[in-house]
Amino acid sequence: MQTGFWASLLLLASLASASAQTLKLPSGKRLSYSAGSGCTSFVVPLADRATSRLCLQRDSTVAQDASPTSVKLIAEVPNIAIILTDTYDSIPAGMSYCQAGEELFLRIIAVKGKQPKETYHQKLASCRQNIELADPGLTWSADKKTLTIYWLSAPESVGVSGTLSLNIGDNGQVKQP
Amino acid sequence: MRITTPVPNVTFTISSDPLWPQMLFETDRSGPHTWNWQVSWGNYQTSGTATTTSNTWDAQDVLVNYGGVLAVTAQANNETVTISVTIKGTNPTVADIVQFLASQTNSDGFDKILQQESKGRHFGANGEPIKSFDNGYGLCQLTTPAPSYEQIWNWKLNVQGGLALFASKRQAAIAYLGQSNRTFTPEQLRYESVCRWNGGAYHTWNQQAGQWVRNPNILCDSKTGNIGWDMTDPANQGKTEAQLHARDSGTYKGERPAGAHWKYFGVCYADRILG
Repeated sequence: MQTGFWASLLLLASLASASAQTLKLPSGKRLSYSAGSGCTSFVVPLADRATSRLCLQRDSTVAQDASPTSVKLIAEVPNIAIILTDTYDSIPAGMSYCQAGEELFLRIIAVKGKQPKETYHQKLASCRQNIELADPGLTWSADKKTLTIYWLSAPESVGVSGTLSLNIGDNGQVKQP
Repeated sequence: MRITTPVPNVTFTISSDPLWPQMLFETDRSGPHTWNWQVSWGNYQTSGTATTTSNTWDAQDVLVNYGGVLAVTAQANNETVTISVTIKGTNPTVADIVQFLASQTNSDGFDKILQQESKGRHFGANGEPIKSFDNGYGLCQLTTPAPSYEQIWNWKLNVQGGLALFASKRQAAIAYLGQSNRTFTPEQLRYESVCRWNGGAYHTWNQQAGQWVRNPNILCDSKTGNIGWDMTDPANQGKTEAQLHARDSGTYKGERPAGAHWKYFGVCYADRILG
């Protein structure tokens, strides 16, 4: 009975680790992620070499149990913040609407302190919401610690372009200049 | 007091146009009447009151665009009586749908989607609007935004609801193809719009030729609706469609497995639908 319990635990642990994906950061630290229940779970390296788990919400355009199809690092501000994007398949609607569509989120995660914190999120692209990035869609200025988003179809305005600049403060908080 | 016309539980049928039938109600009393009506279907319902100077009332005008179970309570001389009847629908023909779409602006491409996806069915065999597993209603299987009662029972309003979704994709296609003052043809706009309905962009800009071209990196499985391969994926490079189909087709059914090297592509969807 006892052996069975530990074997199950071991199996669960190995399954969990098998489904987790890892992203290597420029600082040499590693960020891992996996799909949780209704969220995407990130194991975030903190400034003090510890790691902590952060569960980040998606929205109603993404299935509850969906795993990200890709997670991309945009920038790392060492010991301050990690900027990344996560992509999911869209929930399809009738008549094959958005069956091949994607939903893309931007996350800014502050890593200073004992717990990581998502200080900003933004929908970057969406089949269900008609949001589309331009090419290039994101530019990062390391010296100004500023991320600029360029949309071909900005949120809430189909077919209308838009730009948004985000400045990362020393605590990982986001300011819009 | 009793209702002499119609008989209880009679069925009124909406024509394929769609035109709502005359629905005459009559009592055996005389003088002014008040008619309280309520029509409901599933979670949808609406109601109202009409007055007449005599004992007859035609519910046709107030019931346009509604169907389901209609309950009417007639009131005259402090007496009341209630009756229930049913309103059901008739499917349009494919020719009806095509003709209607031709009269709508910016529907180029949506007609092909509708023909492919709906098979011309708005009502089931029971005369009620079809409802999909994800609560999609009618010809266009409208889900989000949630369709109105009227869009569920009037197939033309339902098609206009679908067309509104398509219009957003068309608008995004125009913004995409027209960026940096690039030019595009009506055919390119049709492919781009249909592709985006399913997901993603159809064209990429060929700098050398100075024109939009179909995304050259996507190879479609011509035996499917919209499955294909990204040929920049090292696992797919150098392989033919037949080889990739033989490798992957066993995994097409059910949920797409993690790590699969095939995907659903709007590009393949547009190729399939528009030829």
